[in-house]
Amino acid sequence: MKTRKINSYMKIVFYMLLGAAIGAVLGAGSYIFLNGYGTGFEGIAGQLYGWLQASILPILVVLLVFSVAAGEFSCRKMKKIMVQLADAEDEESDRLEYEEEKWGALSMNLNVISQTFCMIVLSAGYSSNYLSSSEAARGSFLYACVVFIICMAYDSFWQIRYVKLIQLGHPEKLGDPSSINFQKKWLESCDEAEREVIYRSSYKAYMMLGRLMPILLVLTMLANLLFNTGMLAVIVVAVIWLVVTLTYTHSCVSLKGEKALMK
Amino acid sequence: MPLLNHLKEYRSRLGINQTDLGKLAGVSRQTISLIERGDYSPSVTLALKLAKICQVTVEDIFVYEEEERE
Repeated sequence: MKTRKINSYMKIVFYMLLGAAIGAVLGAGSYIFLNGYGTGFEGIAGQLYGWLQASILPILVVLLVFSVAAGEFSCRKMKKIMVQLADAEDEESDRLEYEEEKWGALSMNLNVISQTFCMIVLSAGYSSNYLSSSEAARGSFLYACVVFIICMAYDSFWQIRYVKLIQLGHPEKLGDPSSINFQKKWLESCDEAEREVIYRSSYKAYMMLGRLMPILLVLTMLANLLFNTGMLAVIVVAVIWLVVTLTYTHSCVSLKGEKALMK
Repeated sequence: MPLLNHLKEYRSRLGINQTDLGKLAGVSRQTISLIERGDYSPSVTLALKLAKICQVTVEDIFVYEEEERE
């Protein structure tokens, strides 16, 4: 028991030393790189940012077209699966339901990718420096905002359509997708096997966040050190990590408490 | 998985498909399919429900086989 305890501490010390060694190599490398090509690097980054600001409108139009094309294609595919599912035999239903799950997951991922990319692209022009730079920049940004709103509205409506499609094939699934209580109602309408899938997937997502957050925190700290990106990114990542951990531990304690106090 | 089952046989005896059995037990067709394939071990409540629908005991449907240890 004692050996195992010592081994655990030694392992952590080893990981810390390894992290320090990697950090030292990366730090020295960045210092040499930025000293040698710092101006060039900043120049390229500035040019890229300038290009992004000038291309907000066309990029958002491309994203909107991509979102609508992907959304409509997946909706058609899902509708087709639902129609086939209604008359399918047991073995065929297994295959079709797997297809439904696969297409649903793919479409949902594309939908979220579209929304996050739209946000990132629009935020390139969402600065007072850019907006006060010229009349043309302001005009272009206004059109970009209109395309952004259309894209976000389409993505949101697509999510509602997706839920309604699933409810068409599985009428036992409850919940109004526009309601705040939708997730709760949906979970309540799932049976025990479906809930197990949701719980296991959620835990996997939590574990993933637990691994990703410290890395993002270090990256945002390094970005502030090397490129003066500011404290905000560090604070945002830290707050997300904190909220996720607090939510998880609070939920664990509440659930255990409920079980312990049950008579 | 040490839990074997004969749910498919008993369902066939009743002459119903997975969807119908799912409706009777209050679960989805997919859950019935998972149980039949041995990919999901149902809760005690669901096992009792299934046994009641098939008019047999839980032990008739589900068989626990002890894993052999060397």
